[in-house]
Amino acid sequence: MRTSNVWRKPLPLLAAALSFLVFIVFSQQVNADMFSWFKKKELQLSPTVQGQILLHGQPVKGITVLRDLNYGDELYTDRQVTGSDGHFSFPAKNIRVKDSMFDTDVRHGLFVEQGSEITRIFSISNLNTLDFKSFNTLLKNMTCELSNPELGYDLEPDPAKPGVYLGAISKCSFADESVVTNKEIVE
Amino acid sequence: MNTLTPQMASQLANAAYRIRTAERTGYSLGQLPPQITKNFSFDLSNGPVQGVSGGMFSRMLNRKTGFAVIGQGKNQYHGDTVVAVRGTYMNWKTAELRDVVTDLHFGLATGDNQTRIHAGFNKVFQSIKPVLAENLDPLLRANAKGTVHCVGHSLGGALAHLTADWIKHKYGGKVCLYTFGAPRVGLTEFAKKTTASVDKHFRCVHASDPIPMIPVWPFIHAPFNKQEFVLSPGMMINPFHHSMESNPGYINTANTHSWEHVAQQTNINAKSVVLRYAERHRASYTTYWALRITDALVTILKKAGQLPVIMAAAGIGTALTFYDLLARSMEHIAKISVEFADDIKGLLGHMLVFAGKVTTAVTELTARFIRWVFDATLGALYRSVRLALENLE
Repeated sequence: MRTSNVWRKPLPLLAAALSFLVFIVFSQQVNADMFSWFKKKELQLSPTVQGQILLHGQPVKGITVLRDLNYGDELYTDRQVTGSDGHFSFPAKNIRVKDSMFDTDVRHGLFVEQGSEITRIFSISNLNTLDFKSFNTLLKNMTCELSNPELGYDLEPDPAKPGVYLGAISKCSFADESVVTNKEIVE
Repeated sequence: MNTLTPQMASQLANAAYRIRTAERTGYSLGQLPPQITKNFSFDLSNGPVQGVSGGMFSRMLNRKTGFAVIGQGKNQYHGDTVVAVRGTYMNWKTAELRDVVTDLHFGLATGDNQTRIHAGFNKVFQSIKPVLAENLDPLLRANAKGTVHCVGHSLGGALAHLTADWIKHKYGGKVCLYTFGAPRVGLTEFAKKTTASVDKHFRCVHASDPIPMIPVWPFIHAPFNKQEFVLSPGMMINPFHHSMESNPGYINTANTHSWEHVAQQTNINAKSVVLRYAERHRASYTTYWALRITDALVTILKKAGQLPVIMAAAGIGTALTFYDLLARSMEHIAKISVEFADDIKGLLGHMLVFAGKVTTAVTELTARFIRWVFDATLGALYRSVRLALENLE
């Protein structure tokens, strides 16, 4: 008799069960922040990159430019061949990552491949993210003279993370260097 | 004697993460902050100091990664040397801190200074030691005047600690140690010995970072009975506060030029603490209570004259047999007098509240029940970190 009553009122029962579930979930709210690592989040490894390769002032056409993006042990490599005016571009790259209490090394490198010889033209690294205004600004428009020495660039820090130092090593110059606080030749 | 500023020490601990793997054109520390490049130069032409860490998988394959980088001082730091050790990298293949975080069967090993230390840390350290010696011999054999600065975050802090202690014994000279969010490395004897040998030890923590709270007692922090630097206060234990970079991030909280600007607190190991059962609801899931509970446990053992026996057992056994023994010892102590029984009831009551078991009452003082309370307490302490690790798989 009781059983048939239950089956006659499935909705209220379901609602009760659901509200119990909701209660359990929300009573755990204290832990929600702490356990937010279950969420995946979008992370920008690289903004859109645009540049030009020069050698002794002349555009270099048909040269391969490599972009290596590291997130811990993950490596994402893209290749582009420069056009007749030496230009190259890479699209922005986003990945989905899990939050972790442990830090992950993140790297952004641009290299030029000439036969078996590989030359670094840009490199920057940080822990967990490189998605900072100064870094994004630089990569919008860069000119890389291959005969240049490598320069160390100190970049404007992010106000939200005053301790995080951002610095790049590069043979390039940048159209917008307003975010550069200092540059000098790397010893 | 030169010391590094908090900013320099944290920047070096941070930079050391970059030498775990090479980029296409070789190993590189990248562009370093001006305060580092002005005072130290690094030569990575032969690569970093490599080592093997992680689970059995990594060790079987001898999977080596970059662990430490050595720099030579110039200008103000002329004649000094810096050893920066990188922190933990976690993914399912390289579970570098897993042994410590998830495994209650702590193994002990005899370290270089003949005291008992964590077997996992010792294993990684032994794998990097020969290359460290090879690189440091030419620098330190000829120059005993300069100071060696050892720096590291997380697992890197524990390894920097073993490095500092070993350098002091092998080469003499002055050694300073700077650690951020480092776990405990050894038992009391190690803590005492290393406190006497390392010239200056700046142990920096965030109050809410769980990693410095493990492994639990009988592991003890060094410097023994001296100050720790609390870079960020905070009540509730939060695994994310372990990060070097993310909010609050040791690199942000240590972004100052003087150690005098950093809050310090002196942790006297094993203060005399008695906890009353009626007041157990004051306890909470915080660093403060984790320490207070440990102090109360040690106080009972001391009062009952059982501490030497338990400490001797700690040097031999694994955590499992150790906590079995401790529970049996507590049962025995409870039978000695009403006062002891009250102390133990108070301790267990606080442990249960700490572990979130607010409604569980202490009705018996049997070894079985006491052991169960220990498990619940340890489980609560390790839970948040363990969940963070499991999520990586």
